[in-house]
Amino acid sequence: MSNKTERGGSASLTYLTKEGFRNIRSNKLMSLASVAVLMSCLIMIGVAFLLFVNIDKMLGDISQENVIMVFIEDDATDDEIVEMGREISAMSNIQQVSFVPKEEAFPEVMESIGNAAALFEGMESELLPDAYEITLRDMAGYDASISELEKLDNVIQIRHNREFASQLTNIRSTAGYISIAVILMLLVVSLFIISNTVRVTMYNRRLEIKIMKSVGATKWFIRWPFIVEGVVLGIISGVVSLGIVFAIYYFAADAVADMSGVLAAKPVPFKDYVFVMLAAFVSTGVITGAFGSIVSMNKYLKEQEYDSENVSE
Amino acid sequence: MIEFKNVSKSYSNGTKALDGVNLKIEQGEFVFVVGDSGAGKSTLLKIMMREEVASEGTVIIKNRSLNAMKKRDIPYFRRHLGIVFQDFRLIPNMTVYDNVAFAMRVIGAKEKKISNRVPHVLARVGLADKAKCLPNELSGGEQQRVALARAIVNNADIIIADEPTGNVDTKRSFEIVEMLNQINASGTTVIMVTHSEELVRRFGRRIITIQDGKIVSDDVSNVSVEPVSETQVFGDLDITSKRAIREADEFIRSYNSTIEQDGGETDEQ
Repeated sequence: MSNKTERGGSASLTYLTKEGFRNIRSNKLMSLASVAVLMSCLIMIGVAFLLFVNIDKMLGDISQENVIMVFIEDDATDDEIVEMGREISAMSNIQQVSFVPKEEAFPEVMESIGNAAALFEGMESELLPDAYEITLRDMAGYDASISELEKLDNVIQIRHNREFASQLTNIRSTAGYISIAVILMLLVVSLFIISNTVRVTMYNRRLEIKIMKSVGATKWFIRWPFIVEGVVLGIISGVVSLGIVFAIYYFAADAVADMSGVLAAKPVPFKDYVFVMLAAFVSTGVITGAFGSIVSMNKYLKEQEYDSENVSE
Repeated sequence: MIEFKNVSKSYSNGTKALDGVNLKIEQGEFVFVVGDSGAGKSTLLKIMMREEVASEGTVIIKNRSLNAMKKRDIPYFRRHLGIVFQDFRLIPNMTVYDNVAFAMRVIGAKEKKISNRVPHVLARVGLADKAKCLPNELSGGEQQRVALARAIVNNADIIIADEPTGNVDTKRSFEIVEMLNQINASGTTVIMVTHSEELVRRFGRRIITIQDGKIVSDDVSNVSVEPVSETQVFGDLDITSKRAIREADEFIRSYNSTIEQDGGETDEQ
């Protein structure tokens, strides 16, 4: 019994990994099928993710335009105005604060009212008060920020569009929940597919597994090649589907860019997310591959135990 | 070495496969287990292999209680056993060599050790020149000899053979039992389940008869007083087994001449 103490060194690891690849080769059609299905799941996940990122960005852009104007008392001193700007910047949810002096505000307003500006010709910029133009980081904290701003000294009026802001926040979070739900659902499907493939492989190789068990192979020794199989299928699917998502996005972005006049929004560049997505795809592939293998294998090993109860003599 | 104390086994469907079995097999014994279909022979073997656990009683093999054995220790326990099945259980897309090597690989043996050991074992069962064949290119008897080689390749202490001659014609059956005899002569315990009265009569060995889950007779009367010596075994061999010896000789010659080649291949890997 010289072998029983050997629990497998690096030579075994090479052997086990080779076995994993052999599983894939000897099971080409099934491997191909599961790569294809896993890829379609990943592609859908990728498209859902990019769609969400774009919608989120678009909504973000829109909310950036939803500025809050804080108009300042005329008799406030320069120091007070500077102090006020400092206080606003110190607030937690502030993305950007810019001072709009009345000299600048007037031509802007004139321009925005177009032809009607003729009516105000000759009028002084003194008509308008100085103001701070504020954009918020997170629309969800809109109300809190407004009430904070209201507490400032020297404020005549705060102009804002609360309803619009809350609608935007709602849409954004709903879009987020839907994306998460869709992505989770697709993940579960992927897991199911991988575990199914491994189960078929195991069924095809049940004779080998029986022999392995009878000569005293440890559970992990039996499992390892199947985990390698799952992980390799996962990686292949991950990398290839990333390429396909890129292609889809490239053409879709082109089409969107053509309409950009209408939408006034540019699609998010793919390269911004390529590493995030590569990491996510490959790890999804690896995790579903490994996890799917282990789950289906435990099922199979259990069946084996039941199987042996069907005593045949 | 193997001891069953008052062992019973019931299955969840209510079948009582074994009923109060007491049994003691010493190291180096050769035992035939006979009985009708459904008598409990397979259950007996399955309990020995720790594929099943006794519902009642204790089973001790090699000083270890199988009832109390932890799950993670089972694989290591099984390495003491060499198991031969009626249906051979050879992997169809692996060569004879790989089928035997497989048993070593899956317990983590080094490739160098495997390439030393497998040809030796194949020569021992007279299949040296069939190393590169696939199982379906061999006769039933030859396939069972491959299975036998696989059972002994890890130096098992106990060979458990479940109707090893069930799918083989009479002449080849003798050949296989003869080989088990030789394996037994080197000190390995052999337990063989069989239906064949002819075999049992011909080889004077201890015979345990099971009926309805009980041992109804444990007959040591026809055991030859002298242990079977190797010369006796060889003298008793029929032509086919002599051919096996010739094959072994041929193998040793051809093996020696190909050592260089094999060594080169190993280096490349």
